[in-house]
Amino acid sequence: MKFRFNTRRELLRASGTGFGWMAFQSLFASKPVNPLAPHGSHFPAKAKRVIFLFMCGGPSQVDTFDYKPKLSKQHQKPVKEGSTTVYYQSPWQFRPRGQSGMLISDLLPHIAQHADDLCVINSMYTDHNAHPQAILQMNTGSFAFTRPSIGSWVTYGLGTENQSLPGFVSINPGFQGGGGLNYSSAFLPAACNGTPIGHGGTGSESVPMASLKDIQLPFMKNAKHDVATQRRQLDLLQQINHERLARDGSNALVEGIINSAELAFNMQREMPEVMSFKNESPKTLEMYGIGDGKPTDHIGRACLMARRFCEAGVRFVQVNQDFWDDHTDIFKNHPQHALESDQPVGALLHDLKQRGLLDDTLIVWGGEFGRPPLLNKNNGRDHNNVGFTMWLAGGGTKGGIRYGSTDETGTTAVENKVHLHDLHATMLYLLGLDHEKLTYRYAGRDFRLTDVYGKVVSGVVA
Amino acid sequence: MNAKLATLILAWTLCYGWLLAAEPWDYQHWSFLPVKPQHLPDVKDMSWPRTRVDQFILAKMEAAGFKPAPPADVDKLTRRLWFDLVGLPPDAKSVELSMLVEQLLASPHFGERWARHWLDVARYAESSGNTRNMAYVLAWKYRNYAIRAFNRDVPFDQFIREQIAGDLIPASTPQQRDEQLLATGFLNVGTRSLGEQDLILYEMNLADDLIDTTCHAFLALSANCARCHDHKFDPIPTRDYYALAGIFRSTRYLSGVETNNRAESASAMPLGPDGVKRMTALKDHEKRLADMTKEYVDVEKRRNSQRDELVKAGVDPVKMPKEMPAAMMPKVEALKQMDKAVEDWKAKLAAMQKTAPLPPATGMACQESDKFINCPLMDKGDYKQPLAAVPRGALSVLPVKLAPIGEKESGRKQLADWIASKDNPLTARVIVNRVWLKLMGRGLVDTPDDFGKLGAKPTHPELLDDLALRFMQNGWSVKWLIREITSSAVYQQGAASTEQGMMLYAGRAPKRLEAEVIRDAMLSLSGTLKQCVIEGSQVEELAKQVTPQGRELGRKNFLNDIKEDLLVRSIYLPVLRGSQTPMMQCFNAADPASIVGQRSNGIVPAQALLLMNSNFVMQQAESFAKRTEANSNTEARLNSVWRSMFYRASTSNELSAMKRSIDSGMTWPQLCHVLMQSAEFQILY
Repeated sequence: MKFRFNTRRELLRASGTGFGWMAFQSLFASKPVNPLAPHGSHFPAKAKRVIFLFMCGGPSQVDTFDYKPKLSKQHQKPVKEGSTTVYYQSPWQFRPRGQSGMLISDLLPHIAQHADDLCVINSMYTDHNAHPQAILQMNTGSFAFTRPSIGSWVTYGLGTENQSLPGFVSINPGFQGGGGLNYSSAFLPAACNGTPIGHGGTGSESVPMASLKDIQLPFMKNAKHDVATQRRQLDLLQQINHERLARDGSNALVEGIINSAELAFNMQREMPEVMSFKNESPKTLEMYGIGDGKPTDHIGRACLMARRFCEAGVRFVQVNQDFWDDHTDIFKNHPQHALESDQPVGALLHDLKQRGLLDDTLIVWGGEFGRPPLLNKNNGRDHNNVGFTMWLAGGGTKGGIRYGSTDETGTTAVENKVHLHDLHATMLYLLGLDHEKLTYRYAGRDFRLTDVYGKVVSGVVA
Repeated sequence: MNAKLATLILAWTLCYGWLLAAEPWDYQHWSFLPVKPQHLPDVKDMSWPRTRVDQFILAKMEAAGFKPAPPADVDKLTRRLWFDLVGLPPDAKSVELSMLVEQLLASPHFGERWARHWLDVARYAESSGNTRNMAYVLAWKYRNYAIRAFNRDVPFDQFIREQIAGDLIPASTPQQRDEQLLATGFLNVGTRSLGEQDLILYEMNLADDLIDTTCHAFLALSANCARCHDHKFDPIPTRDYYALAGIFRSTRYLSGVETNNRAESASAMPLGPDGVKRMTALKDHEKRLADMTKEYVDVEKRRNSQRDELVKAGVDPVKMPKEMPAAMMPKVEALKQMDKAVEDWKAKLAAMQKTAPLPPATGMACQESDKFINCPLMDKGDYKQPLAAVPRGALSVLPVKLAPIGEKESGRKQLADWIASKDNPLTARVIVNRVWLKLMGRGLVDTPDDFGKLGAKPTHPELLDDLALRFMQNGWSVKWLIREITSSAVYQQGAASTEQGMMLYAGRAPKRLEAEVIRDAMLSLSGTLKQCVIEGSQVEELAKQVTPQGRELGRKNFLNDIKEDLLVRSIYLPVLRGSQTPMMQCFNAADPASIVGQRSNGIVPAQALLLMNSNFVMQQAESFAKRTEANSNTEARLNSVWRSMFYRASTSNELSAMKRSIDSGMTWPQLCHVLMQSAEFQILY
């Protein structure tokens, strides 16, 4: 039993001593529940699913979506006397885009074409200035404690529409900031855990990214038996299971296992199909930048896979690109990261729109923090958690607007500040979930994604 | 009139609002009251009860109009006892039931089964989790300590004392000392924010994990909401939280985890009779070696500069031209001597390295810190807003006296005694409930980790108290408790006929076997299970190949090749935070992110997929099939396979279904693979 529409406290209050309710709960606690069965939201949802494009490492806001003309006045002036770190205006040209005339730099020309669909939040801020903590907080809301990831919360809150697929997948997840903890369900039901597909690199370390080409998930394919043999096995299995069920009269455990075996059989057919691009036209592959040797190939595959997962009914898809952390030579490195993901993300927006999926798919793009408008002695920009930019698109957000702002150098969020917890609250809101009511009682406490924080940012909601 | 009404409404609103907002603490909450001796209730059917437990159960059943289910047959009961007590399927020998219980309680596999339940609660893992997920190379020694403790039936109050303050309890032998030190691994295997740069915040987070774990594991109370505000429902003020925090901040944690960020847990606790001496010798030796190396580097540096000087002057010190300016000769001579000095140093160093004393065995353990802190109360939990310091202490709500804590004591000893006191109303109730839950499928208190106001109330409060009291009188013996419960008629019942009756234990509810048990059962059937205690862990093995600072998950592929297909019992598999092995993950093994008194029972397709396609599972099926080859004919073999799997005879329908499959070409390994996927294989009736 879950406390979906009321918090446990309210229920306890409502039921007087609470004991009657407890007995009621226990009765059903012995029944296994499928935590992935779809369930209703708290209020009508604007978005049905999420694609979170996590730009791990932190893209620079003043070089992308936060136009700061007044930076030129301080250009190349030391940040304080004697410092080798100087203010540095963006070397990339900002141009008005689309009907809205939103200013976006030339660093991301493909995304810029969708300016009218973007809801750019220029006033983001978060609590920690180091990657590991900031990454973990971006994905789970907390950097100090192990908490469920946002994808797990959403899956827990809404279930999933296709029982033959996982509810939450994380494509190309990195190792930074706690690795698997960033898609973990922690104390939520294990079925809400994110399914990782491939993995990112480890930065300077020796583990390369896993290729997404022909990638397969574990246990999706039988190394020994063909499908016909498996079907015969399944038939015998179900006969034996049904025989057991008949002997037991009713047994929710046996029923659950019978169902899950059937689903698993379907899943091993469906999952590889969803992950395969064999039915995609060459034009589509081209649009996403997929092709051997192309710099866009990797994220292109991730983005196309994300669209396919969404179409197939997966609730929360995370695409991770690492690592935007350009402390050195940002003029060379930022264009490289941009090159790798700009076209794929642009293609994803275009593709979702032409398929009518953008309206009820919430896209979230951004890093765990941003970068200051400064240049260090290595021609790089360091970390900045007090002001940065993320953007939303589709899923009931206002298109073609900028929300909030930083000071005139682009350093600190000043107007309509949006904390990470507020972003999380807003994402849940768009999915029809009240972030204060989406709780899970664990060991004597009601936990939520936003802890005791978070305000829905109504200014971004259409 | 209107004004009067308005006043009334206002007063009522204020009153009601206050009631709702303040929710005054209930000091008379059932679990805070002393455990009381109980009278046996009267029952109508005097023939059914076999033990006191039964009498309490039957009284409730009769009052609600239910009847016990008939007893389970011997086969069913044998299978139940094997899985419940040792976590393995029964072997072929059949013995009388009461003998069987004694046999299983004495089996070395008993500890492997019951320590795993405890490790769920102790949030046991072999890595730190959080942002820098570093390996706990020595954590397995705590795991094995727990196995030994359950096998030896260490009195539970002693078990508590050892885990919280084992280092502070006198020991009569060096072995006992080591055992007690390893017990404090309990305080070392939790989540650590090793990536946190701020020392105070690091300490506060560490204390938080320990307050959370200690209070939940032993007392089933959540104290850690009091980090930021007084507990909303239970009488736990923030003061109590910081009193506990002081105890844990006055403790040193020797975890053997070395990060380049922080050194405070780098060393591990030396073990063995001369462990400390050997550790000192080793450190001395290391220091001398370091000093010598420094000297050597100096000598070499001087030699090199001499050589460079000669090279600059056009003399090749290696070739030494015959016609060399006389002025250079002394310098060349000097170089020769210096070369010799360098070689001598090299030899000396090599010799020194050879004489390095063998390092002592080490473990994760605790000791008293050299600084004793009364932790300041942090305003709204913000460590940057410290208020007045709170003297070290325990929870004020419980009617147990905490012995005074000396200035030069952390207070762990006092805390351990306070928890393990027979006057503590929670401790015995909590563990009795945990054991009951594992044997009966549902706790007498349905929220095993929460005995607070928001937790469930006991369905049988008298029984809980009766068992708790007798548990203490019988020396806090867990084996006594298990014997007491398993010998009852209520444990030995057959299947329940109605769901409502099940609530009152009228009949047994089937339960899903745990991830570990399913896996161990497969290994057991295939005959490949190593039946011995594993002194070590894959994590330790792999860590040896990496520098101490490189032992971070994901780094240089470290721990990416953790394997689940070892032929050992599952309790010996590596447990990593944020990266569980596939079968443990999908069959709902406890996530060490938090303490888990009751595992989730979700059934998802991922489980069936794993059973269907895992090479490991298919291998076990194949080995199992091979073991049944000796049977003379198909029917005999089918019967033998079936009995080994389910410990009962097959029905004619089951037999003919299998026979049809074999006759139409299904291989024996394929058939055994099917049975390993079956519902009954995963369910304990």
